Amino acid sequence: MTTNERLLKRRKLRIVIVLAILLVIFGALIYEGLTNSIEYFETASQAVANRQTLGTSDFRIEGNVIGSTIKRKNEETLFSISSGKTVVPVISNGSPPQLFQPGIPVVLVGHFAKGNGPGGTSLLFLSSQIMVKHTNQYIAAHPNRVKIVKN
Amino acid sequence: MNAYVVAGYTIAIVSIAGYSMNLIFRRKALRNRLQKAKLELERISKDNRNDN
Amino acid sequence: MTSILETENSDNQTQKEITLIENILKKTGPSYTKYILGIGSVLTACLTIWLGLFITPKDEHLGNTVRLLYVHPPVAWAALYLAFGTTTLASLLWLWPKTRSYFWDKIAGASAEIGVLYLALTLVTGSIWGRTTWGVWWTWDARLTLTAVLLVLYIAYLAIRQLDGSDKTKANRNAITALFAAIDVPIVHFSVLWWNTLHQTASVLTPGLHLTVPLSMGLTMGLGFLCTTLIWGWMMKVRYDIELLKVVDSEIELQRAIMQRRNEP
Repeated sequence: MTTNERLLKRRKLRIVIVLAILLVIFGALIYEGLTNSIEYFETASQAVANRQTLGTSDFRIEGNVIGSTIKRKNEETLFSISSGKTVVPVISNGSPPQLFQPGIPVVLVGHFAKGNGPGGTSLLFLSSQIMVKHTNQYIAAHPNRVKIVKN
Repeated sequence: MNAYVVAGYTIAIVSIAGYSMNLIFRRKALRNRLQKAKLELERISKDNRNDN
Repeated sequence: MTSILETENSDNQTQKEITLIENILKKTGPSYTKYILGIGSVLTACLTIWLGLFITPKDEHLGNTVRLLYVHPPVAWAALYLAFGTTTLASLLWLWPKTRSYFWDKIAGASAEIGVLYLALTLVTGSIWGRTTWGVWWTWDARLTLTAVLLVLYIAYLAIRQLDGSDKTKANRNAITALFAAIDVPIVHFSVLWWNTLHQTASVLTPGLHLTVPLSMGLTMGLGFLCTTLIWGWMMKVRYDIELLKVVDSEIELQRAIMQRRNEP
């Protein structure tokens, strides 16, 4: 084998290794996508309707934070989220992100608490993580307006 | 200004500038090589003519 | 012993190579196109940064974080639609017999390389934005996951371009791989509509093209996109120059090897 051939073979081996690594990453991404992305979250009303099947297992729930309900107690944040006519009370440990505020849509990671309802759950949602869902609406902050008046 | 915004802009500027420099250097290296090859070829052709 | 004829032949050959090099050096040297693209890139970049960081207003909810709006979407558009779009189109033009030319294969490769850079930047700037807005660096929603998949696909495309073969085999293989990778582009685009995502829906490329941003922000985004487009154009030109130089370089190298073998006793 000439030096040139050997070099070509080594190059090919390197490319094949890169492709193999990429294939593994591709597989992992598809797996994460199939298990997480297809049902990325359930809206609060969907979640309440599906309590029987959801049980007390982890999932992501989405809803709007109801303004008057936010209370902080030690390390926990208590509030309620709504979607349509459904209201779900939430206890969250861990600090909420900066943008967390009344009226904002959030996605919460967690599960329904144990209880006597369908699927052995209660309506209370125990959250371990709060993610703020920003919309595609951008509004220029008015320099002369100090307080934001919602609705 | 907040640190996240600064970080975002910086990363974008640095990586685009970095890749641009890389492109410029790669082109320059190849052009220098060919320039050298041209000089050598010109020398060879002169030698050949002198031989005849 | 070398005959006169042979000497003349090799002299002709040498002259041909010299002309070849002269032509390529001229073609890859300074040009108006490159100056205009280069200067335009720098000017629009400066203008975008100045407007983006200092002139445009804060957002009511996001505050200063909204300034990432002038980097993240322009880079993402340039990656998905401009760079990968060009790769797809060029691959099709190679595959279509009437327009088949190695030019298209080179264009496809150059554009994909720039696209990968832009897409990586899209993920990084998006991640930073996510951290400040959502509160997480990463989440497995459809938009994010499929964008990561897209990056893997185009890196694989660039790796496959390095595989050996005859020029024609390589170009065919490259083009078919490019078309395969391109399938994910529209899926990424519509992912925010097809699935529940944390990522927001489009703010400019909305179904009816209704801007959901104030005009000053929208215009700055547009300027950012013009900037990423000009940078893409400049990079394409230089990247293509490199490909041309590589071809001539390997040709000269080959001729030199043949000459050497001939001169051996």
